[in-house]
Amino acid sequence: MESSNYEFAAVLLFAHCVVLLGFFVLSSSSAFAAISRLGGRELPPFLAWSLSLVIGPVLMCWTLIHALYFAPGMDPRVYLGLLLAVFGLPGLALIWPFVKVPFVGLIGLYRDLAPTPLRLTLCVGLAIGVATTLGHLIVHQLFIPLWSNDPLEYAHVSRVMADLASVRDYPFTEPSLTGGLQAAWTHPLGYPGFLILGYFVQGSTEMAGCIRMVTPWLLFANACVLGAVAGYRRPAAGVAAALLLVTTPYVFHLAAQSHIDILRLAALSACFTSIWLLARVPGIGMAVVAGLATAAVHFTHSIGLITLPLMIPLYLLISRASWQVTWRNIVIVATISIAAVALRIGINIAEFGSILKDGPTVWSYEHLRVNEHREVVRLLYTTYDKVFRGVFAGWTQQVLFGWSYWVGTIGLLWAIWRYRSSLRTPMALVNERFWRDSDPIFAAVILCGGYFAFVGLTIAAGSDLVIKNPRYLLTIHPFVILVTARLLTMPLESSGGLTIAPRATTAGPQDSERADAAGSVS
Amino acid sequence: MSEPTQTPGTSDADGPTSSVDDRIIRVPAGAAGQPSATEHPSTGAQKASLNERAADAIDEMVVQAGALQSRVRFNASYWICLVILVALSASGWFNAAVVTGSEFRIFRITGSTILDPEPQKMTARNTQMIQLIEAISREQEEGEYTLAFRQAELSFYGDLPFIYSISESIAEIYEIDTPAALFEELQRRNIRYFALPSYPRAELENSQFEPLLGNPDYVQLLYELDDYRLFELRDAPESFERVTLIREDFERDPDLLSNWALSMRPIGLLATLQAILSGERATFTTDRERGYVETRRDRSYRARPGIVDILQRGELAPGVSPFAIQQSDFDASRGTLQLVADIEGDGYFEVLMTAYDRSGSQISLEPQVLWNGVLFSGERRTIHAQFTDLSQRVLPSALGDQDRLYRIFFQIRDGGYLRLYNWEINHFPEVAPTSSLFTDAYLAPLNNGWSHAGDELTGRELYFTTVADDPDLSDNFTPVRFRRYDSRPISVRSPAFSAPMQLYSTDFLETSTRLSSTIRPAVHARTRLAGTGVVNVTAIVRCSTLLSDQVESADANRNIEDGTMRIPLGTILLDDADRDTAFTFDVPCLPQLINFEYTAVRNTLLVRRDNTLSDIQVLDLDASLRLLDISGRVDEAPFTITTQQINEYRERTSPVH
Repeated sequence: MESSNYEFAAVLLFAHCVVLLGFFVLSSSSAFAAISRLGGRELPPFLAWSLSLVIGPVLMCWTLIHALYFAPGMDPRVYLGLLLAVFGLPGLALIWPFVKVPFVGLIGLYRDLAPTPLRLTLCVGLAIGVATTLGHLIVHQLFIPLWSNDPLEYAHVSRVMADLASVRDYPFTEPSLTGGLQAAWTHPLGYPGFLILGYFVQGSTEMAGCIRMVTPWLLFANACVLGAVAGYRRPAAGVAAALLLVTTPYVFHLAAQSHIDILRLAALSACFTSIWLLARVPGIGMAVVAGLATAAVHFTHSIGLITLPLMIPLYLLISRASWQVTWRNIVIVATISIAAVALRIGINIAEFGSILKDGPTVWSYEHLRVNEHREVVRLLYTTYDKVFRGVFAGWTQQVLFGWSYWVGTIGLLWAIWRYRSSLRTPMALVNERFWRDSDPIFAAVILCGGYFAFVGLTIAAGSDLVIKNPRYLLTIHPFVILVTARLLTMPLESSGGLTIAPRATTAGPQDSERADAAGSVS
Repeated sequence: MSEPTQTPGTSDADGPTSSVDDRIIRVPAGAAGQPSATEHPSTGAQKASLNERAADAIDEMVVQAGALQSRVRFNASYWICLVILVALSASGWFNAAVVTGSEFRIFRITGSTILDPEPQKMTARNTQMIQLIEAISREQEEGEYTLAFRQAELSFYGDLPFIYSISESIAEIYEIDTPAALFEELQRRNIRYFALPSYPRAELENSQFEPLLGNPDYVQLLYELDDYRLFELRDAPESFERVTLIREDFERDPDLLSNWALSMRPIGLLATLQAILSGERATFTTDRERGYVETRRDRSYRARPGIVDILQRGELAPGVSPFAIQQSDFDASRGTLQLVADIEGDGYFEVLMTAYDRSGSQISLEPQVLWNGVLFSGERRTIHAQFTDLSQRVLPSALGDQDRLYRIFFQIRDGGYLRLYNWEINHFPEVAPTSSLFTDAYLAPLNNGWSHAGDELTGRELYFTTVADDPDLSDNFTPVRFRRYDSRPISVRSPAFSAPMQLYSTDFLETSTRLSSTIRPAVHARTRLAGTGVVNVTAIVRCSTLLSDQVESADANRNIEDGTMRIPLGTILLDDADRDTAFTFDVPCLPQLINFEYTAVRNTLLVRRDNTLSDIQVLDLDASLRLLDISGRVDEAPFTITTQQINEYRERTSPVH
């Protein structure tokens, strides 16, 4: 009898996973409808689609958290009903355009690639890689219990809030509610929102169950966003970027352990993508979308607040619109994204007297020497290690980050060498503002540069806050991947492994074509 | 991808891709079109023979192919990029597969346990904190608290009230400056238990918790697994008798310094290579004036975790086993011991103990960590550690106490220095060395899942997947469902079983050796059957690890297949009477699951008058797994599963037409 109970429980678990993913799909579908209307006709559909995979679920969780704050203590089904009413029904009504986009995209892609079977094979092969890696992840999530430190803490905090059907007690400065768990955090409730939704769906907080499906969805969404932006006009680059992202050892590892960082990466990728789109499509609607994407980053993690200082300079550099429009867009993005976490900022100021809090009081006792202790234990005590194992972890810790950083760097150097003739007139380049080029690689390089400058400043200021955990260095990982993938697939896109040169004897149309080709390459 | 509906033609102006594509497509088309126009005009005026035309055609093809070949260029950058891309993603892909696979192995998930709920899987994995939770839940009473220096598992998998060490509510406790005052405060707050992870915690080692937890007068060590520890606060501070087993104070007696030596322990292949290639040695000095022994290696520009300098008594070269010198630091009988040492240093530091026998083989499976933490330059401090000899629990009694040798190491990770001024080991004869909790808890992972014996037994611990369990088949076993050649076996399954993590090593052979030097599992089963027919009883053992010395001796008829072996126990003839049968068999591996399978044998000669082929009832099954230690003595506590349930298994059929 018992065995059949376990089997039943397992079937139920699978069903819960499907329902939770259903919620994500429906919220994405409704978000897609909104985004494609806001972005207007100029917004490429697949980009809008992939953005909605991140923005939709985050918006839904934002709604859930605010419902749990302003109307706490009701039956979980009431909240699920609310989400279904706000996101589910519109999502269901508008599901067809949402479902259609990837298929239309795939058919279009196939038509584009069909004449060059080598490229088609390459794309299909890489896509199979992405799919099987995500398959591994899903199998892992279904059958391996939750065991890592931070995910367990998040899961427990979310469990307490789901049991109370209220987020009013968060931050939990009084551990009696949590059974002792210390959770006086300043983090907004983005990730707990996902977990609470999962608990509500399965109607029980006893086990982690279907909340393990959150990171596979987010990793999938992140791969789509990154694929869409890296694959801009170059499909193979997009698939390669998606594959490099999901197969990064540390990313897979964190996703498998249900770490919050996967949400952070997905939201930041969506934010970057929407800012990059905003530079090309500078309408108010697109600014709202970018604002929502930035809000998603803010809503995910306390450290998300550094997004605006990173993204505003990036936007100022790459924006092609007039300065009035540019600043109008910045105001819109900043307003929406800060308004989204206004509640949390208010609570933090009321509770802790500041927006961010560094750590518990115990860490501030000098005689305990918590910070020095951590530096020694984590092998970050020499300056060399702070710089090379810390800041440049992507280049020195291949076990975690893979070789993308090296390939990307070498690729960049190669590209600079390849186009060195243009660099001989740097002033001309500056006058042309080459970084406004539509290729996202420029924006990604600028963002990485800005991030490393920021990390360098924090180290110079004597803080190891940003490097104390290699997870924090994953922040720019998607953009390094973007650069790597686009550079690495450049030769793969242009031709096959064997090129057939045109006949020298035949004059006429081919020559002019070659000239065209040469012109458009340079 | 972004604008998928675009046709190649419309995107010409935008990027290089489409125009390059066109070039590729058009060029061969042109090349193919030309010759047919020039060489083979179908004028019909000149009638060449068929052979000539064929020869011409072949010639022309050769010419064309040659021309094409001269124009085909090998695109090196294409292949380089392709190889890099495939290598990058393939390594990550395999990593993902390996991660998933190894998690399945770590959690010991098999086909039969894959659907188990998460808590069961966590128990099977034998995580240290999960075992601590188990131990705490047996001890902690209403109103008492555990102070946890790691909170994640306690909060998610436990439901006992606890206090996290960095919680705001106890922040002021770290300002207390004597262990006695801390004891009072903990008593007042009713904090009774202390759960410590294996990794160092600053708030533990730099506060009064360090002397408190290191002193058996204040706290009792209850449980330890893989350096995760559980302590209990005493009701009142005691002053137990302490017998000093060893004391070396170099300030008082500098002659003792000559006993001491330095060795280096490179951990891992890379560190070993580094150590050999660089030829680098830490400096070793003894200072008779100020009375200390010191090792010093300047902090390199880069932290190298693999290189460890060890201070210990006796001369040892790098890489030489400390067991070779046959010199015991002290004579530890069973009991609670305490280490007190005065040190100064800089860097990550550990004190380890290892136990070995006179033949030089290690008894404790890993060196036991007595103290670990971080030392800060220029600060002399005293460290305290409370411990018991864990090797006595893994290998209970094969050796006499006098054959057990103990060795203490003081080791510092690369960089910095370490000075030892004095050290002592105290024995507390009055402190009950092994509360039953300790032994039980230590053995708990060993008999994991098997310990819930007797009446408490629910379906989870032992259940029967019988035909009778299937409501469709129980009463009206229709001839349609009857399987003619093969009877449906009754299967009785044990819960998941796993050994302590200490027994496992990253090296398979090492694990195998450890296991076989530690335990020799045997199963004793007794079953009572009733009914009529012929029954085959088979034990199906799913192995987690083979024992090295028993691999070869496995009988030929024990069919080992992907870690599962079928051990036929016997054939029982039943003739309308109860029958008790007992079986004892060795299990040549560390079992993970043991199934008992009862199979009714189809023998048409034995068909009864009412056409029942067989009618078998399994009335009872007692099975116990016994872990014999290496001396062959049966362990005191066999792990028994018993069932009182009476399970009926009936198969009725009419003759097949």
